[in-house]
Amino acid sequence: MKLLTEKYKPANLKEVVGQEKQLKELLKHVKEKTPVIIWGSVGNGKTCSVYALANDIGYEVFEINSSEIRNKENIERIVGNSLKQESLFSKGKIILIDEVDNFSGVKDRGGIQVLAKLISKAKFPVIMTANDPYDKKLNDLKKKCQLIKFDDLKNYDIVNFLSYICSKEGIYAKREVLEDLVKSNRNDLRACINDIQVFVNKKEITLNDLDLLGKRKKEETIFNSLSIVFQEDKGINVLNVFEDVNANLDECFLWIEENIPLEHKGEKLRKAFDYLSRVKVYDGRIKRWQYWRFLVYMNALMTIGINSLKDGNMRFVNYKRSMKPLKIWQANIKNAKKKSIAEKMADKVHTSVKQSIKNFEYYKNFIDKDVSNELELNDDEISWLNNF
Amino acid sequence: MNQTYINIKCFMAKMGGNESKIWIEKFRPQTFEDIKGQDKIVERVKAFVELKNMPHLLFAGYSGTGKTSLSLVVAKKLYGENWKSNFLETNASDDRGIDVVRNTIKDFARTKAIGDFPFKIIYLDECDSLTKEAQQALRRTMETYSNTCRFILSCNFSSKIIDPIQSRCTVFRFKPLAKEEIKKIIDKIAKEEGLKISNSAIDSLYEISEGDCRKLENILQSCASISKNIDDKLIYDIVSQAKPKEIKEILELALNSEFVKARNKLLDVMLKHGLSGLDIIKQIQKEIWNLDIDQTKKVDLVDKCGEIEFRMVEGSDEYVQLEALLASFSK
Repeated sequence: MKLLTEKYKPANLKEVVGQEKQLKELLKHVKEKTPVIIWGSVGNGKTCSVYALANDIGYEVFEINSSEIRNKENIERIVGNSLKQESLFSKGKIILIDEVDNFSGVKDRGGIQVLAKLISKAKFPVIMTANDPYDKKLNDLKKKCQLIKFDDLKNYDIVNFLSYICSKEGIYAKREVLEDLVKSNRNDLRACINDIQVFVNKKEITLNDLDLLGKRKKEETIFNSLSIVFQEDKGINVLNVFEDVNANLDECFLWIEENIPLEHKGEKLRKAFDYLSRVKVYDGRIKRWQYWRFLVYMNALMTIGINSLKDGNMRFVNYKRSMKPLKIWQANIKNAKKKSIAEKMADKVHTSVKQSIKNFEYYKNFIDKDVSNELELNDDEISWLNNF
Repeated sequence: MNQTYINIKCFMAKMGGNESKIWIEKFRPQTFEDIKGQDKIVERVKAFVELKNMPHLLFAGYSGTGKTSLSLVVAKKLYGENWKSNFLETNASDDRGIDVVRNTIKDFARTKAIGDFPFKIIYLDECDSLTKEAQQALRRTMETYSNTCRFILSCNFSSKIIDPIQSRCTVFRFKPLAKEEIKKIIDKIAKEEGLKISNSAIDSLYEISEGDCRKLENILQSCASISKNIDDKLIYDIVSQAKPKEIKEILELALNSEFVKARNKLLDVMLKHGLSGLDIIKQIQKEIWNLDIDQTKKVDLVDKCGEIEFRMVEGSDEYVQLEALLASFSK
C-alpha cells in the first residue's frame, strides 16, 4: 500500500498547494540556471515542488539529502561529477540538495564551502532547501544564490486539500476536525497527511481521535514560535513554545524585542514592552541573587504575557532579526581606543573605568601634551584623540 | 638642575600636594580640613585615625561627594609616606566577580600591616555592583581577617548592600555638596589657575554639577582648556557636547508613534557617546517638561521615568527599560 504522502504528491506544478508566486520565480531561475535556496517551514511543499516542476518541464531530479554523508569529499564527488555529466537520455537535470541547513558541523565538515564553490560553475540548475536561512553556516552559500521563501500554507488551503484526500479515501471527517488537525500540526501539510494515514481503515475521524495522535514535538524555528507567541489564540501551549527552539532565552528575547513593533501599536506596544521590561528586571535579580527560579517568571512574561495582547487574527508577519548585537559589537571595536585611554585615566584618578568612560566627553577636552605624558598614552591613542 | 627638580618633587610629595595636571587629582583634598561639605563625617573619621582604631566603614552617597578622597586622607594620615603598602584600592564595578574577593582581597588581607600599625585598609569602591555571592564571600573575609584588616566600602546606594555587611559596618551617608561649598572650591581653583569666572557662571556650574565635585572640576578644566574667561555660554557649550541634543529628537519621534525610528536612534546615540541608561533617563526626564503635550501627560511620563529609573538601579538591562519608556510615549 502506498503512503498517502506519496499517493497525493503533486504530479505537476498545478497540483502544488499554495506558493503560486514562488513557483513562477523558481521556474524562471531553473531556466536561467541560477542556484536557488528555497526556504520555509517544515512540510509546506519545498521538496515536492521541485519534483513537480521537474515533471512539468521533463527534467530528472538528482537528489542529495541528509541521509548521505555530505562532507567535502562526497560533495565534490557527487555534485562535482553530476554537474559535469550529461544526463541519461540527454534529459535536463535539476540537482536538489535537501536541507542544506542540516549539514552537520563535524561529519559534513567542509561540505558547504565546497558546495558554494561548485555551484557557480554548475551546468545544471541547483536547488537547495532549508528551514532556517539565517543559519550562520549558510552565509557563503547565500551570497551566490537567490532566496525564495515558501509561505506557510493557509489553514483554508490545507483543510480543502485534506477534505479532498478524505473523500478520495472514503474517510468521513467534519471540517472542524480537520481544522483542529491542521492547527495541532502547525500548518505542516505533510504531518497532517501522515495523521490521516492512521485513519485509513477506520473510515471516520472524530475530535477524540485527534487526542490519540499526541503532540508532534519538533524543533521549532524561531519564526514559527514568534507567530505562536504573538498570534496563537487556542490549542497550543504557549508557555512551552521556546523549549523546542534551537536558541537560548536571551536570543528569543531579542527576537521578541525586535518584532513587537511589527505586531502592536499604541497601548498594546506599551504593554508589551512593559512585560519585556519586567523580564529584564527578573533577569537582573537572577544575576544579583543567583536565584534561578525567577526564570519561570521571565518565561511566563515572554510567552503568555506577550500572547495575551493578540487580537485573534492570524496573519503572516515577516519577522526580522535584531541588529542590536551587531551594532554593539561594531561600537566596541570603534571605542576600543577610547576604552584604553579611559582605563589609564581611571587608574590615575581613583575611579572605575565605567565612571571614566562616562566622563570621557570632558576628559577629551583637556588631555593635552602634559596630561597625555602623565597618563603615558601611546602614539596610537594620541592620534586617535586628535581625530576625535 | 635635575637634582633640584627631584628635590621639588619630594618637597611637594611631603607637603601632600599633587603635581598632577588632571584637576580632579591636582585639587583632591589632602587633609581632613580640605574635605568640603561632610563636616560631621570628617570629624568622626578623624577621631578614628587619632585613636589608631576604627570599625569597618560603609560610605554611601552620590559620586563626587568625597568618599574616595576621605579614604585616601585616612590612609595618608594613618600610614604617612608609605601609605600605599598598607592600603589596597580596588574597584568593584570593574572586577565585580567573586574572584576579586577570593583572590586580590584575601591575599592582601591575610598578611600583617607593614610598620607599626594595627591594621591595613582595603578600600572597595562601587560596592553596589558586587553580586550577592561576592558580597557573601566578602562578609566572611571581613570577619576572618578583622585582626589584620579594616574595610572601607563605598557605594551609591546602601540598599544594594546585603544586611550582614551593613550590620558589620558603621554607615556614613555623604550628601551632595551645598552651594557654598561648591563656591569655595570654584574660588580656590580660579585663584590657583588664574581663571575669571562670572557670578552667573558660578550659579550655572552649581546647577549642572548637582553637588558632584568631580563633575564640577571636569567641566572647569574643559572650559579652561578653551578660555581663562569662563561665562555661561562657554559652560553650556562644553556641557551640551556631553549631552547630545538627539534626545529631544528621539522623544519627538516616539510621540509621533515613530517607535522604531526612535529606538534605533536611541541605540545609536548610546553607542556613539558611550552613554549609560541612567545618563539618558536623566536627560529624558528633564526634556519632558519642554515637550509640546498637556500637563497631565507630562506628569504621567515623568512618573513612568521614575519607575524605569528604579528598574535600572535595581540592576536590569538598560536598553530594554528605555525602550519600554519610549513605548509609553506613543499615542
